[in-house]
Amino acid sequence: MKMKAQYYFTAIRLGLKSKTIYRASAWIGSVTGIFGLLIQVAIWYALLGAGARFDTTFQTMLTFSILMQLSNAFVATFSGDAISRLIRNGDIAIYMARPIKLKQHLFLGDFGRNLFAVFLVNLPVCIILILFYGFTIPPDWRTIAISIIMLINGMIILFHYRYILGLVSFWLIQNPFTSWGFQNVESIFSGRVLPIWLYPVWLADLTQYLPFRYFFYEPIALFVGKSTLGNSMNSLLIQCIWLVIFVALEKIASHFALRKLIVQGG
Amino acid sequence: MVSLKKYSGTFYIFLKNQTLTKFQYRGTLWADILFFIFGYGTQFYLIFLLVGKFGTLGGWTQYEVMLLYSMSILSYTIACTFLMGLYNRTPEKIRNGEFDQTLTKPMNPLIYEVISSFSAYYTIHVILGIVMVCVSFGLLNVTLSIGNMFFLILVVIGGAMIQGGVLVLFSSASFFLIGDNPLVYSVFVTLRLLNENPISIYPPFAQIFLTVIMPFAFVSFYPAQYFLGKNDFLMFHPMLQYLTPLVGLLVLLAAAALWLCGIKQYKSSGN
Repeated sequence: MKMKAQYYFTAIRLGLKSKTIYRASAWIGSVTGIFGLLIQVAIWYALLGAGARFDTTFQTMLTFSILMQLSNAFVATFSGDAISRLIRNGDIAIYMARPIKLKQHLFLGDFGRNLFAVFLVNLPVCIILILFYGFTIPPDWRTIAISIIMLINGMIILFHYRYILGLVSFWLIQNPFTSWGFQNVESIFSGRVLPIWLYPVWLADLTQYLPFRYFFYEPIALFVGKSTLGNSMNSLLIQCIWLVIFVALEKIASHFALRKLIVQGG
Repeated sequence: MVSLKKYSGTFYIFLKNQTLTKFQYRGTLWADILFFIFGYGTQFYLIFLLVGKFGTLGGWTQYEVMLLYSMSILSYTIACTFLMGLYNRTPEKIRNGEFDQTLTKPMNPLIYEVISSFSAYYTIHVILGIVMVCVSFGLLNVTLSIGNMFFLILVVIGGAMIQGGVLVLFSSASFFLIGDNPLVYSVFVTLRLLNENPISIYPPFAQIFLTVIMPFAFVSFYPAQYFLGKNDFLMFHPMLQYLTPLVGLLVLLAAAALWLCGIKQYKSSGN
């Protein structure tokens, strides 16, 4: 048990270290990563200014955008690209021989890298934005607690989802599911750019049958007061169902992927 | 004349090889095309939804913002067709010493890098970009005269030279920052994102930055005003709407000169 914890810790440390070796690079890379948020802030300020439209204020959208940015920064994962690369160059064999599973290794490595971006860049910029423009805090602790639980759930579901897409690389060497185009399609169903409460009814209804809105939209909508506690319990249940589906799919896909694997060279 | 023949011959060989390599996985190719169409379609629809819902964004209507986006994408994809390979591969080549091979080739290293990394794959994006520009003009009910069409082509080429010039400029940073060149991965994407909205929504320092220092505003914001008859020139002169081709040429030439200067900083990793 102690040994395993040590391996986990080492994987996180290596992920973090990969960001700190080339410090200038890591800093510039992380700083530019936050620009997406600043562009969003500029757009919402231009659209809403000091007033409220469609029952939405600038402060609501700022809170929404900050929470969305931080959540995505925490689970930014390149596991799909990493698996493709490892298969292409044969390094996948080394990872199979390691004492922790490939999935755990990629998850912990990503987590280590993301800690750098979240704590040293994203969080300070978000705090400055909050100091300037304010932040919407829910009136009761239960809403905050359930939002946090749902956010953590969403992060676990998102990682599994991306990992499953990455596993497609075992069958298709050039994996189209890691492409920019596919991620864009996801974004419209996830409510990441534009909150789903501003969507037309038909599109908002459609998103309920897909997993994407349950990653981060539902917990953040609850936090900013665009969903009720009652609705959120329902969303929490749906999150759990998606989690079970993705964990099962990941197990099945991993099982068949390993059978498919042929490592070239020696 | 002999040089031109040599370069075009070499380019043809590389083009053929790159095309055959990229197009060998047919299933993936079709899946990619499908996702590109959905990807651009999604962006278009999000602009339509967001700006349509609120009326205007910084004084620009939904179709006008869609035109900004599509002009930016078209010139970006043209730039990528020629220069994305250089942009992606140079840092790695410098880090592992593979750049030695480029220096031993009997031609200008920059031209060699460009023609050896031409990306035929991006032509799919270029076609989609053309479609988006046409759709945007159609939605705006703007009919272009022959002269304006010619100017639009010049603007798109100028925009491609600006974005391509910045790609070359950032790629040259790899000669100075041996490590993982972050400029290659994220700064360019950020600048491009800024350019997909009317720059009038940004604070004045960002407007000056995008006009004077990294002139991305010339890619779509200023020239689009000419085609739409708008007058949103911020603190700058309306003359800027005509300058995209000239700015593009200057940016590309300056970037190429810096890239070639950067070679002097190159120290092979050795073997």
